[in-house]
Amino acid sequence: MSNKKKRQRPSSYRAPAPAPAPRRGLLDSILAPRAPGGSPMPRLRSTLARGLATTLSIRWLLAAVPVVILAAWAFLTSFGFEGPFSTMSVTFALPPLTTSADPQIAGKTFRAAIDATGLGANAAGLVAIFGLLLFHAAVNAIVATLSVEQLRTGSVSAWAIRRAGRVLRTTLAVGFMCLGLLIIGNLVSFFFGGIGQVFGLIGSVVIGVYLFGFAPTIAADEERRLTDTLTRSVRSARMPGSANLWLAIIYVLASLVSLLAPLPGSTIGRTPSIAAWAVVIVLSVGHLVMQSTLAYRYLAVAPDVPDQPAKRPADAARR
Amino acid sequence: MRTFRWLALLALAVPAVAAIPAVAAFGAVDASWSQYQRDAGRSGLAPEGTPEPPYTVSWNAPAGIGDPSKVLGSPAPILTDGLAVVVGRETVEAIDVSTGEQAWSVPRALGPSAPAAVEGDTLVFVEGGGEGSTASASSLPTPTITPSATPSKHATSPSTAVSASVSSVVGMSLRTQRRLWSVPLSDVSNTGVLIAGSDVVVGADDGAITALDLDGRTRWTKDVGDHVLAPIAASGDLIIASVRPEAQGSAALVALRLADGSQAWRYEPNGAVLDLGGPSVGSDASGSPTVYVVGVDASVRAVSVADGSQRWAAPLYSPTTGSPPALTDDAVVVTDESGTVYDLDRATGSERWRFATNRRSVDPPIVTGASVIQPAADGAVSAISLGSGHEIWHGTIADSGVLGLAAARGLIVASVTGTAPGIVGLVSNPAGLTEDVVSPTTADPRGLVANWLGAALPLTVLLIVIGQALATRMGPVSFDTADDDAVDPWEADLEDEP
Repeated sequence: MSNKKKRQRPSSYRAPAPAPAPRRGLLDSILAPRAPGGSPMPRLRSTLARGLATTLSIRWLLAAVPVVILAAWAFLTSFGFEGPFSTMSVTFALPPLTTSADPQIAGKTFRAAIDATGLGANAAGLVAIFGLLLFHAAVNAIVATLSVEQLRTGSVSAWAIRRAGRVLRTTLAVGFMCLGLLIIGNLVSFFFGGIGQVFGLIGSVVIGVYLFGFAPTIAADEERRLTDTLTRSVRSARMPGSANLWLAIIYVLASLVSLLAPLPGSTIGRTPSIAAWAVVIVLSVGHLVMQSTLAYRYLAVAPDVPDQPAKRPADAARR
Repeated sequence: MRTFRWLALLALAVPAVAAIPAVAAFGAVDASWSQYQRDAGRSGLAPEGTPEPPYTVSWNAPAGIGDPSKVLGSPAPILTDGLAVVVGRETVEAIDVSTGEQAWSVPRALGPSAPAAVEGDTLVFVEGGGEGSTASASSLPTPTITPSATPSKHATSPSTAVSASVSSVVGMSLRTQRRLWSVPLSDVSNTGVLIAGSDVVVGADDGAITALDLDGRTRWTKDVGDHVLAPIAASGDLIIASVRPEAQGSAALVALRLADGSQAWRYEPNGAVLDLGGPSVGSDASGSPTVYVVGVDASVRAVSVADGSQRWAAPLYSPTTGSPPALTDDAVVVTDESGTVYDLDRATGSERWRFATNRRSVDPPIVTGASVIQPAADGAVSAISLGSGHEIWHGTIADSGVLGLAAARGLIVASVTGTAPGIVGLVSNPAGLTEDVVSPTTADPRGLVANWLGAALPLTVLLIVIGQALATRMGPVSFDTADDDAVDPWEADLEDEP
């Protein structure tokens, strides 16, 4: 037997976090004042360039994009989905963009019988939405882990896939929270009409990307509890001067425009044209770039993200 | 060069010459499309002798339908006595179909366009209502019947048309264009006019349905619910109207007896279906009349006219805009809002074929002997073979929506909006080109894989090459890890080495 120490890869790239902080709810991070000072996050342009370079360096991921889309399309069309094919461009998107497209796909594919009422009318759709949510969560987990490994080591390995299994619970939780955000957004748009639609529907997607965009990266890179991961994502997003909100707005608007624009593939049909495939693959790579960009942005400032939400001035004075 | 010019002239001349026999047949236009979708059952089934595709535009007559920003309601044309009649925004206009020239135009109080109907010399149309609806405020929860034999107000001059906040039903002599009578309604009307036997029936947005005789005497009025917006159909002694709820609840189909307005039955689908659209009625193979409706829940339903029981329900891929289905002897033809046309078995609702035109459709199809003719919101008209479900012709006749079709021997007319709103006459063009296009919804595994390979392979290679170039240019990533807790696992592994 060799004396050589058995090599054991750590389960994350960063050493375990220091002594666990007292538990705090997600709202503590959302409602807490922003941390004082500026953010060391790199500029948007340079992080986008780094995100692009990172994504395009992961050859297996690039090769997997068309394969995954083809498999998903074949699966959905076998159950009656007929497009528009352009909705497949959200396969690699961040939630809640995926969550907002899932009901449309589920409603056209896994439809309850006409005149069904009660649970029977909604069961098929709900199961389908949950299935799609799980699928997107798995995709997000793998993409986030691959991005983190590529950024940390300059290459990727099968370790990323194993690690993705542990990131899945975070991406799943983010998916569910984004679903909740979308429901709130729908209620806002219902009660406030025209302007409510803008702030409710689009706003809820922007908020979801803004607050939880870093969560998969944190889960892939660090060993933290789920709630800690989510609250840390919120704190990272809210770092002053980081332009994270602008990044989320630009990303969401660009994605929505690409979904609604009359691009090739935006029609009904089961055999997408070459142009339609090209558009969807390019848009999917765009979503991967966003994921890698967020990963890079987080990793660049990870040591500076506070472990506790900032205290309100009044609270601080009282103490 | 000269040869080329001659060839170009020849190419233009051939379709025109070929269309001459069809144009000559205009004189034979009969009164068989005397109301919306041809008849009281709203069958949309074109009479014998309707031209088959390919088509060519024979004439284009301007009419006051309005451009896309101003068009209101549904200005679908009707055909009667050699005239195409269309109800525009502020006019009712007749086009001589043999020449494409305007025969006459009478003013009309501004209001939603809705198809007129004709019986004998009496043309009945709806006017007034302004730009919008006042429906919801005046809807009554309890249905009421108001029989009346009171003579209605009689208007005397075409020039008496004034703007009104509610609609009126107007009877006019076709021959003299003199207004014979006018009856105000309780609200704005969008349904258009139904003539069933000697009765005129119109619905209003407040849920009231009014029946008059051809002399303008109100026979009864009944409130059937929140809103009656879609065209009403008739079968025998019953009229059938689609009732739309205010915001919640379910739509209903109501059958009223023509004699007194009493309710024969009321059908409400399970679940919350907000709109059932316009009904169309026809007898199935067994001879029993059935009403067919399309729901916004992307469905088609068949309901027995005898007792209001549901016979079958079939799913569609996308919701519809509520236009009534067209009927043949054995088929129900419907179009959803995405422009997919479906041919369903009338007895069972089973789907025979579907064709995705991928052109947004608002108005209903009509059925000729061998084809389904579908107007689209982008100005195109598609012809789909009834037998194969393949597209056999399509053409663009306007730069915006085609808002309704009517057919007669040798002629199809279409009302169009756009930069040149009006009526377009279509005739058969024997020299035109047909096609045989399979629906894009038909599975084509080989095409799917070929297209996928055609895009995926070069794109993936290109992206990898770009990635390599970027990586070389940008160099490796380095994070300034001031944080002592941050440990690269690979460095840690190296430290473990002996």
